[in-house]
Amino acid sequence: MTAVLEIAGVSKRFGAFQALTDVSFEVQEGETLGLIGPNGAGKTTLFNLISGFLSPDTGSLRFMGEPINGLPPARRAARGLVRSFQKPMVFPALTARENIAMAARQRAGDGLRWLGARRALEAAEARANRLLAESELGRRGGERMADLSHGEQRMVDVLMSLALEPRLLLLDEPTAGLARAEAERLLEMVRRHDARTAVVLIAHDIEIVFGACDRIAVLDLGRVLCCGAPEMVRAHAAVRTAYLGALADP
Amino acid sequence: MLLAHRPAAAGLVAVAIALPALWAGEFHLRFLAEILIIGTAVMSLDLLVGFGGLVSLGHAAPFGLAAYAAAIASQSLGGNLLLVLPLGAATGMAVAAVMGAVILRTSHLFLLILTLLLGKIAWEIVFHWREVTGGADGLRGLPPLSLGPWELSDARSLYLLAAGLALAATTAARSFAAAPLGRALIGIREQPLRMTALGYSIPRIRFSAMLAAGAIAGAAGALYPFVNLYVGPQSVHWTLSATMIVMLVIGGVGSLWGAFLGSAAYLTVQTYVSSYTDRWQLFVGLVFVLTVLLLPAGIAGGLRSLVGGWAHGRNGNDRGA
Repeated sequence: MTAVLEIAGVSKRFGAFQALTDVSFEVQEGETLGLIGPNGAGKTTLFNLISGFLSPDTGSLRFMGEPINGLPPARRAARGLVRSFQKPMVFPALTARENIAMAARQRAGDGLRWLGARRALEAAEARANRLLAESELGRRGGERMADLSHGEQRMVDVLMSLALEPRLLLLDEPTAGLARAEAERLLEMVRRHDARTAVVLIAHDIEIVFGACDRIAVLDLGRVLCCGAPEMVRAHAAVRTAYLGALADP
Repeated sequence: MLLAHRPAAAGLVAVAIALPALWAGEFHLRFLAEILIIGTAVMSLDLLVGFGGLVSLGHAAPFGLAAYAAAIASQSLGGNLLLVLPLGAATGMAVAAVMGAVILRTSHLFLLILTLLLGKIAWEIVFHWREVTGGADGLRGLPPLSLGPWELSDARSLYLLAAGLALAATTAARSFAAAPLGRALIGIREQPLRMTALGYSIPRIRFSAMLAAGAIAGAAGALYPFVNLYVGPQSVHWTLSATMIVMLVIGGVGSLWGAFLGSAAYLTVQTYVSSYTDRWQLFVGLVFVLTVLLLPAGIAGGLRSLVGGWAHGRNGNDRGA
């Protein structure tokens, strides 16, 4: 197995608030890692550090074996380190197809093209249509994002990330506000899309996380309490005390 | 390119351009040429404002400095259109490149202030560099424009030239807006954070838009001195930049062609109402307020709704019959 992401000794402080302390773990190719913890544990901050929207105070980040500290977010995305946001961050006035095509053009290196636009537009649209078909949203491709349901917007949001052909996909609560069946379908689509893609999933629905992830890392007050297989995490005393409580019981 | 797909629209535009050329007199042809030239500059501003959300208070700088560059070059090298027009576009692009480099990472209020200050700097240079620009007096006595053996100094030629430029510039702007680059520009206006997360470089997109808008404004600026046979520091002043924004809002932000309607509305009030009263700007203010209140998408948006409603009604009647 190849480590796609290596985080070593990462810390982050905002003024007097220590958001993350000495966080270390690895994510392997093709693996789905769940990242759980109470609100304020530092999960989204960690995503911001990995994706380059924040810089760590200490520690190192390596992606595909290369150090990425100091690399701007757009360059990380171009290398295949892709993230989603807590709220669906889509272009509401554009169609679902155009939302996905926006990502597909950038992935193909055509994002800033003016000359030869038609070929680039057609290729990206074809890619968007294929992704829409994968998600069973094929018939909704022509609808404006603002007219789609919350679940459909979430789906398109994830499809935009998949259009970038990520090597590592950071999903920040992609299942929030979705029914269990919708959430499972969304994660199944992500896993089916490319088995090599490593996924880090933040979600508050414990059943979803324990069901879909190969390993789970638990954050509490900015520290990694434990990181391992779901059964090990479920049985971990500190995790039960800090976060899971009765939810730990299967 | 756009018009090739819409023969009816192309025919309508051709007739609209041809009619004044056949019947309008000298004054009106020069007036229409001015509307088209200023309208072209306003349309280039629409690329920034309407598509990129980049409200610039310095857009008169690429327009006016290109006008000066064309006028100065023509005094020593003659008014060859094939020299003047590319020189204007290049000057506009160079000025926009400087402005773009400064505003790359700013937005909203800071963008407004920075573009205002850059426009002020351009005006200071023009106003005080008297030996080259003529200072407050500007430059007069320009040679006529020419294209090979043909002199383009009469009102009809200038009008047709301005119309040709407006058409070419609109086609270029529309192709820019429809291309991936134009769509990315809309993307950074709507969701800059997501665009960054998708791997787009916001500074590169902004800079490209500035260059495109600057080149078009510069090309328009290059023709401007030859319509009135004069160029003065007012063509660089920040109040012209503000006037362009007013024209754009009246015409319709984000429509591109609305820029010409806004330019026509503004210049018509300025030209005709000012012959009755010095307070003609009061009427411009009134038109502006009414537009904002009644036609938030400008005259272009109003016309589009009107045509859409008419087509919808006709379809409904057809179905009913």
